[in-house]
Amino acid sequence: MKINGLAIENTFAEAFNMKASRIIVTADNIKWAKNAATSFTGFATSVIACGIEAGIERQLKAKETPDGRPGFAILLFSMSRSQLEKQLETRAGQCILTCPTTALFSGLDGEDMIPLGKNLKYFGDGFQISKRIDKKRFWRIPVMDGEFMCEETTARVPAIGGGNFILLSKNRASCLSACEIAVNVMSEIGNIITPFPGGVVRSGSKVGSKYKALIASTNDAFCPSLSGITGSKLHKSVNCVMEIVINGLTKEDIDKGIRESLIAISKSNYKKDIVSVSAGNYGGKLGPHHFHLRKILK
Amino acid sequence: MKPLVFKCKIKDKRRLDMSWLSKIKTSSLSNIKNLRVNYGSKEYKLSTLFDVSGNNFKDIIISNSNKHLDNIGNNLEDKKITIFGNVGFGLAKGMCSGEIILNGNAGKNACSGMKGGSVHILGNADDGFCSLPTSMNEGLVDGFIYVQKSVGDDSVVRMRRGNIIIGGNIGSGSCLELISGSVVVLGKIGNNFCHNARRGTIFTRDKSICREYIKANQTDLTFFNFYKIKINKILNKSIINSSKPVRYFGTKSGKELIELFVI
Repeated sequence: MKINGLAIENTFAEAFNMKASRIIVTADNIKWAKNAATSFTGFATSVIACGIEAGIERQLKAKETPDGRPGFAILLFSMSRSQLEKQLETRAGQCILTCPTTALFSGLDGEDMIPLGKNLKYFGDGFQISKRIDKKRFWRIPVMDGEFMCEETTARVPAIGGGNFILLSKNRASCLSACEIAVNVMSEIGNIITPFPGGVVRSGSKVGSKYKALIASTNDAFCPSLSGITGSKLHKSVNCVMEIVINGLTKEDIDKGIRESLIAISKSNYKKDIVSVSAGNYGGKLGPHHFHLRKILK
Repeated sequence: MKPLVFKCKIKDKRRLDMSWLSKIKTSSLSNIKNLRVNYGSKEYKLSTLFDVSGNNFKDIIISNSNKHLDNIGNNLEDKKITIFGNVGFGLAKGMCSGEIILNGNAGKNACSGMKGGSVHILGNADDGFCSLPTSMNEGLVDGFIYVQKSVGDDSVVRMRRGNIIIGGNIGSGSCLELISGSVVVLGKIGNNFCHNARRGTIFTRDKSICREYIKANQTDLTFFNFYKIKINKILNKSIINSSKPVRYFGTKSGKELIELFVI
């Protein structure tokens, strides 16, 4: 199958059930909101070692935020409720509470609530003030630049993590540029994030390793440098492979992300260097969600 | 579904306890018409006191209320009541959730002991608004209340949390023993305001009460803009316009942590 000349392999991405939450970080200006958001989402690329996967979902205009200041919506994904709670509180306490002028709000409504500012309030040492408005509780914690305002809880919702596609390219420059196009397109789509640095992964992994201590190791079948040695899945013309991992609140959101980004790549000048588009899976036995590339693009 | 509409037929001036209105559960219109209601010293069928029509038991309209109808919305849960005309005492007393919109004036002890939900009084509220009901220790536990005009004396006693927006004046002896919560008063404030209060936030244009409070550093507070946006959005009109309020925090006479924004 080809989309505008871009070859799509007959394969699927395999994704997993996760738990997600959304927070909104605001500040006096976008610079400081971004400082807080990037700090919060730092070291949150994979649940394998980071605890959560997090990323900036989109930038928010002043009129879109609860306190009328510019900000960012951040999505967090985790395999377990306890990890999500722990990481959310720790990161909020160290990265947002500490960042000048910021405030923190919930970005999701739901029935399953997890603490956001519920425990951070104790930083106020008894001077914290509670405000309940519109069935939601907010905390005002006095800090040196004025006050840190945060919502008490945010919602936790079911989500999907690990949607992906893999670009197989003749050269690294085109591969990277095509990935950048895809990530830019996905940054405009709500409810999804690409948690890896710049949205792109170059170290795709397989399950297991020859070393017993490791649960994952390099995906040798997709490493161009090993194509003559291992059971490579790569055509001889492929010299660079990069993967984009997508986490989203629903399957439809991830479908949309994959579809629109591949269409954007197919319309770009870099498609001539892309040999084909593949996807990462484990034979379909591990993850309940399968994203068949050709079905999505039909 | 059409709202359940009650049209009052009563002409004389005896008072009618409307507590039964909050207890209406989903049933047929004929069952409602046959409800037995005490009026004066006798029991009447509801249909002799009101013309009743409609079938949405969660959306109730009283089309021609008057000041003799008491306890409307008493302990209300998950219903919307829209009232045209004035009401007697005890509007929204002990209300837990739902919404009441009153297009008229409220009698004494409106919203007393309210625990949740929202009440919009598009007129005045008489004395004892949000006052302490018998058997309760707090005058307002939670909820959102908007009074377009003024409220009477001895209003808002031992408010625990919630939000009260008063478009006009507030009478004397109000906000007694305030525990927490937010009160916006756009008009004048009566004597003895916030006596023995502990915490809470007051937004006012009346500078006369400021002398009892300690002027705070004029630091930028996220809360003020947040609250302004929230209240203006809920009421869909500009209630708080100020962008640089003067903030007072604490009283000169004691250790109370009352916060005052002069807007």
